[in-house]
Amino acid sequence: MADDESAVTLQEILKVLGERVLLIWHEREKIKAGSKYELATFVRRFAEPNYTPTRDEIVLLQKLEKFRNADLEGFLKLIKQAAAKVAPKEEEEGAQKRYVLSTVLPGPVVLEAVGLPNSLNDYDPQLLTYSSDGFELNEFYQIEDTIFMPRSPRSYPYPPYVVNELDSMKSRLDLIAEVYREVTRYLDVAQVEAAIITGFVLLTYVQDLFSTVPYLHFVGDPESGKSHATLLLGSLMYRPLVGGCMTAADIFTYLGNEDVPLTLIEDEIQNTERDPEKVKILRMGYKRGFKIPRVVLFEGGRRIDYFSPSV
Amino acid sequence: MKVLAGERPINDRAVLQRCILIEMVKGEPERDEFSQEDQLRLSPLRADLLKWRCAVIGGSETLNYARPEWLKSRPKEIFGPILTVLHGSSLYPLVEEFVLEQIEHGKLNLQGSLEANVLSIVLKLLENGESYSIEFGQLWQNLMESLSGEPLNYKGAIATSYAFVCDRFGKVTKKQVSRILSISFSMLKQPTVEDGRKVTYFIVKDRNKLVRACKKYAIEVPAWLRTSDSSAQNSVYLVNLVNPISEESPLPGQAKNCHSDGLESQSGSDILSRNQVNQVNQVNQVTERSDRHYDSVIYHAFLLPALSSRLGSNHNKQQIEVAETSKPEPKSEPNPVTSTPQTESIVAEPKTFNGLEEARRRLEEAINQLEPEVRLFLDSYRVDDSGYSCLRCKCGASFFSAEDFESHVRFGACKARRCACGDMWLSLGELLEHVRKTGCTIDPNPPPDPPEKKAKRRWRRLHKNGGYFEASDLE
Repeated sequence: MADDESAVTLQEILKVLGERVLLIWHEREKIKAGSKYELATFVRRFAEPNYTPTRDEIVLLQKLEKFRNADLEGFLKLIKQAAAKVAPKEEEEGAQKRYVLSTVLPGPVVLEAVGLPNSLNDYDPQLLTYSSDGFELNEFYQIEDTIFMPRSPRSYPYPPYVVNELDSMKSRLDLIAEVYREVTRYLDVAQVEAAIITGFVLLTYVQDLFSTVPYLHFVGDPESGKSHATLLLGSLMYRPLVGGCMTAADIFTYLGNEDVPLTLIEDEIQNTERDPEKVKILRMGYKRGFKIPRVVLFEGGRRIDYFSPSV
Repeated sequence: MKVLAGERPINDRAVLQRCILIEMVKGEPERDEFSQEDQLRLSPLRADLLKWRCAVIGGSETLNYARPEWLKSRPKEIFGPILTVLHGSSLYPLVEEFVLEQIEHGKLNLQGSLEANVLSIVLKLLENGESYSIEFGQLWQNLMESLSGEPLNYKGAIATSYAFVCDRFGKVTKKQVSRILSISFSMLKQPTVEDGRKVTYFIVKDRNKLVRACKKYAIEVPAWLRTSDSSAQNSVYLVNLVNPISEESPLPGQAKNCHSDGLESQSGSDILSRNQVNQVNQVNQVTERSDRHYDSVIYHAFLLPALSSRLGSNHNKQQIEVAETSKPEPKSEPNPVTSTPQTESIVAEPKTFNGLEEARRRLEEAINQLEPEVRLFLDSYRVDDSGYSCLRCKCGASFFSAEDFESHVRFGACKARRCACGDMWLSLGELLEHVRKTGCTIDPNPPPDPPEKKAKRRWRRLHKNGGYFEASDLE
């Protein structure tokens, strides 16, 4: 399926089947991701001239190719079967699915969404599970009627964590030393500043444990290394969104439905004080417990969501 | 958590307090670019950090929370988590020293702050005074002198300064100082009228708060503030506040000869009795009336002559005569607060304007002289007790003279739209809707265009100033 000839054949098949196949895909995608975004991405990807299917898609497309001359009903049936095969079996029994970035379950069991590199230079979503038995990598984690699925690496704005070694773990002091080494390698700052940045990097990983957290503010002339520092921190901190011109709405969207406190790294912050909504978020976002209500529109009507600038 | 980067610190004191500032200066790091390779190289470290997170959150690894005694309030919120994470490492002493420096620096900043300066003057005035209140004007003067400030006046105003500029704090406004007194030191603002002028007093509500403020700004607590418990302080304060009528020990800023109900609070507030609240409200009402009256006098004495000389209107001259015969002298105006012994008489109205009927008659005459098509735009007119007159256009704008009103309509600046049937509409859309529904026609003779640009410019300036002339127009 990976060679060009078969890929073209598949494109032709899909062209013939048109919308009906996409509808089936939509059903499957709904199961898989539960969002309109995934469908849009899927359609867009099919429209690309150099489309390369992912591993799950290959399974379905192989089936499709076998039945290229069969009747339409046979096609649809097969697609449904394939979709059911890819999805966990419990789906049919009414189990609920939750897509998570990070969550802590009783036990305690810690789940973290990570990525597993595949042969297509992409990442498959995986769950890093930590319990009393140690670390494990799974496709999903089920507890009673709830299936915890990892969020797709495409749905977050940073490269996925790739965990290769599950048996070993470094101590905090080792990590401090390593991070400090990297900070001093990339940034020409005073020793104490490097120490603070190091502490800050580690703090982003355990900010759930604190009721207040500080903001780190780089100030300097152009070419002083601010953006360089933000890029470095973007590669070291916990699930960061590195960017600029973030509006209050962007912050709400990013923090969105997550249970975990995430990291925001914003460059070119000057004149932010002119955005009163954002200033208010910054003022109270350093402390746990504040909620910001917002009315959100969705297909079924409207609801109020409560965002926590600092979870 | 958030990392911010910019060429200058965010201009918000509260946000800045929550930030750890890292001042970047161009240097020569070992690696001065960040590429995809660097990201890949850091990937294992990220994975290790994630695993460490899992272990800490999962409870198999614990953090020793750093709780040094010297770490309190905001520094504790900001630096506490970082010290906790770095606890036991070789970096901890470095950060600890930095935090101590920051705390000392913060203390010095507080000592030199505007609040600290205001507090020291408040304490000085309270110590010299007989009661727990200070006059704002006195405080302002002392503050300005102590900071070597240059007063700033409103543009073209003869009034007292609204701010001063000094080297240490730049522009300091009265509003800013008033806010410090009310909010930072929890003092009660009480505006009053004394000898026909507004005087604002700030009264100490709770001496404990002043004591706490002294500690915060590292100012030595004076002995007179330190003694006696909080209940006694409040009693002293209330006695001073509620019994200002006795001639022996009048409280500055309090209306003299007022009734006192003693210390019983009827309004639910432990600071003011209901009678006291009424007194303050009444004084405020009188102050407002006095202001309006004063405006009227200013208008008739200064603005109207200028207006009439500009426009050459007989109507305005007539109004001036009326105003001059009737304007009360500001200084000789009876002060209802000081001259009337009973509470009820505090709200005495200003004296009746003698030429009121005359003013109204002349204004109506001026209106009658208006062209009928201009008169259509007139919504109402008003002449108040002091001869203060104004015409109101149907579009909502107000004018002091018939000429202004006429130019407003004639120059096409009026937003009201007229139909042939005589009805007025505030927008073209409404007019068109009316025409569509009733079959009426739009007025075939709309107001003419401005005759010349100069007049239009003049009118715009007038309109922009809400009908007032600028200081340059009076010359």
